[in-house]
Amino acid sequence: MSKIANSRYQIISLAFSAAALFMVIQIILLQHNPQKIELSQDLYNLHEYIWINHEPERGRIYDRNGFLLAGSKTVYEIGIDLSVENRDAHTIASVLMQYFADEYPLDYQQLYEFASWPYDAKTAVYIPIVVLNNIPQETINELDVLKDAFQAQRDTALRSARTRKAAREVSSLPSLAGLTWQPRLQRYYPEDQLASNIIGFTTFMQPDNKVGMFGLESYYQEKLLTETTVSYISRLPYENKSKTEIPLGQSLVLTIDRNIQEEVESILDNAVKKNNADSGTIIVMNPKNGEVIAMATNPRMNPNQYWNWGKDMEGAASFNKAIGDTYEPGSVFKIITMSIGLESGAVTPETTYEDIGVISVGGREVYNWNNQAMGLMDMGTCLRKSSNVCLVWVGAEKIKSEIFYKGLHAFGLNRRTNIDLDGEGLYPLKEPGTADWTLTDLGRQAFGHGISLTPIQMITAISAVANNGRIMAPHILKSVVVDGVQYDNIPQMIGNPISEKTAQIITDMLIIKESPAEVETWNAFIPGYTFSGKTGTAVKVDANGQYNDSQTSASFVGWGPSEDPQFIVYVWIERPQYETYASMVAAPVFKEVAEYLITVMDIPPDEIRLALPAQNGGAP
Amino acid sequence: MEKSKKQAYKQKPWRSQVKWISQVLMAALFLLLASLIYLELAGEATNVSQQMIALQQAKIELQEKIASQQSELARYRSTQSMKPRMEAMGFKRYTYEKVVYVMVPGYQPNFDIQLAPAASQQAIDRPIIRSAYTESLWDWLNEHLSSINLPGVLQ
Repeated sequence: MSKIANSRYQIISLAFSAAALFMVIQIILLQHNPQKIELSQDLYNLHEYIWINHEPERGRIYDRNGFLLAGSKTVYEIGIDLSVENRDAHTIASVLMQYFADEYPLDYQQLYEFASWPYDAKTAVYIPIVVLNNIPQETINELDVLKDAFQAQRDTALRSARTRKAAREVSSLPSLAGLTWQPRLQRYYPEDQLASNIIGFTTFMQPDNKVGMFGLESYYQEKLLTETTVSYISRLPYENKSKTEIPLGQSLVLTIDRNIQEEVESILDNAVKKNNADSGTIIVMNPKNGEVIAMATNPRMNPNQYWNWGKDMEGAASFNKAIGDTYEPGSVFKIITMSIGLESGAVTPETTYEDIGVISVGGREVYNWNNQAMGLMDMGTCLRKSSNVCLVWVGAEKIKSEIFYKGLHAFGLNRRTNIDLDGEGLYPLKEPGTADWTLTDLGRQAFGHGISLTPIQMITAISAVANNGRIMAPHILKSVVVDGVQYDNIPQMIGNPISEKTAQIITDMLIIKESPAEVETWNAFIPGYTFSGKTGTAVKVDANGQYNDSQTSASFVGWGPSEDPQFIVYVWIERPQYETYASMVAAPVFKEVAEYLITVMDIPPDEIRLALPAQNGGAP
Repeated sequence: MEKSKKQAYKQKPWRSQVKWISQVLMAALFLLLASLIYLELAGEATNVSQQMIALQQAKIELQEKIASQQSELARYRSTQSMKPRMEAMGFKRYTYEKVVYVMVPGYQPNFDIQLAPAASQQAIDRPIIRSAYTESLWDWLNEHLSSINLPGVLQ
């Protein structure tokens, strides 16, 4: 090899070595440059992964029989796709005006400007027009047909165009190219107003601001809630091993029976209307496990149009009257007083009292509701006749105040029931140790005045009488479905204020009979069935802050069948105008509800039920 | 002497070259075959992967569609829809006086709705894709080599 050739080889090898060295250095630098690392990662993510932006369905709400009470439906968001060239802004704006101007505050000029935004190949972004949210499927179907028709018209014209000029003229034909719609799920309540006081609502007008308000939607917000999820899915075969599950909201199964709820709401609406009352509520509960079967209120709202709730619920003190409104329950409370008296041994069923029509307690006189003396009577008669005087005597004179208030605590009347609904109210119990308490307060509380309670507190406390002395936690949630598995909500006992014997005595004392001479509850009598119940009429305070006899709260609590109660019903009609006594206003409402319940719950009349063998649970 | 022996038995150069070329070609062929198998598997896996992505998207769309249609169905079955239909068809509500009770041994009047399997009935979680579909050739070799019981080697 010549010298020249040798030196050339050396030069070339040096050049290659230098190039190789340069590349190695560059590689090292690239691998340690933070900016380059980030860029590399971005590129990797861009090309090796795809991401799916998805908002999973909010948890559904079912009644106890699997009927859907809250679900989701597809709605659309209309926008302009800027990646489409040569948009026909006039047609787009005109069509949107034609379809939506009646419902939305649209402006042609503004729409025209949106639709005219210049095409930008780099960004090619999708611009939603915010005012056109929540468009239903039917409208989108119509728009889709129209868009296709315009496109077909253009295609036909283009095919038949023979000259360049004719082809150019095709672009003058109307087109909706660039008008796009994106689907998303929106909260939907198929039953409209039904059980809206229980369910509450979720705001949906602003897609980015979905908040559960009131009732279950608020209380179980964390279970029902779903958030927009970005799922990264690898394009690399070996990285895509496991399926990416996007968590759905948890579904709730309620203790509510849709059919019973609907009937109870209907009965309540009629009662409120018939009595020209301000409002009302009915609760139906299973005393054996605390399951709330129905909880109706009047007024109530339509959660599909939640923005009208202020108007729908005009005058309402709370969203759900059954748990949110406190009131003086009146004579239904006498059940509690008598229960405490019997349980403590202060009185027995045989104890007699001479009712002279008035009694003085703490320096103030208390009269009977009819301002009459009821004479000598035992405790059962005292309760059935609803004697204020007798119950004041039992509460203030026979039971010591310490035992009386201990009893109220045992019945849970100094605290919330903690039912699983948002917005439960509580009025502090006036008792020894609180400001201004006197013996008069105890006397008044003994017959249901001077104490403010919610209907749910009352029915929960009295459910002890219907359940052998045991109070079960009132609840709405029966079970929850999480990731395809159903978990049951186990009923829990929260109190045992009275014995089984006391509960049975009270139940027997309050058996509803046909004769008005015997009981105040005769209006709730159902032939062939033995139920127990108690009326309660409480005079309300008027706008001047004075008790006004013409303004009352009419209540009724009833349970049955008396020997084995399957349900307990609490009725409260507020400020009935034509009749003011609970025996005339609330008792017939209970009767109507109970007649329906015995039919749908398969409860036969006494003569059949009591003749059945015990192992069949009394059911036919 | 040694050198001369070797010299005496030395193959013809073309024979050595053919032998050497054959060996290289055999190695190359083996590599090619391995690469082809690898490529085939990778191709299949990629295809499946792409199908999974497409199905994933389709699943989301279907879930949304199902949710919407179930709500629509619930609307048709709602009390405010059913009641007028019931009345239009001439049905009337029965009242408690008209009910005739018949003794049916074993009849359970109430049952709880099951929208999903109860927690106690939940099947044991296990992978749904067999490892043969997810492991690489290298993983497969590793697994099989490690499972070979060599004599004298304590497992």
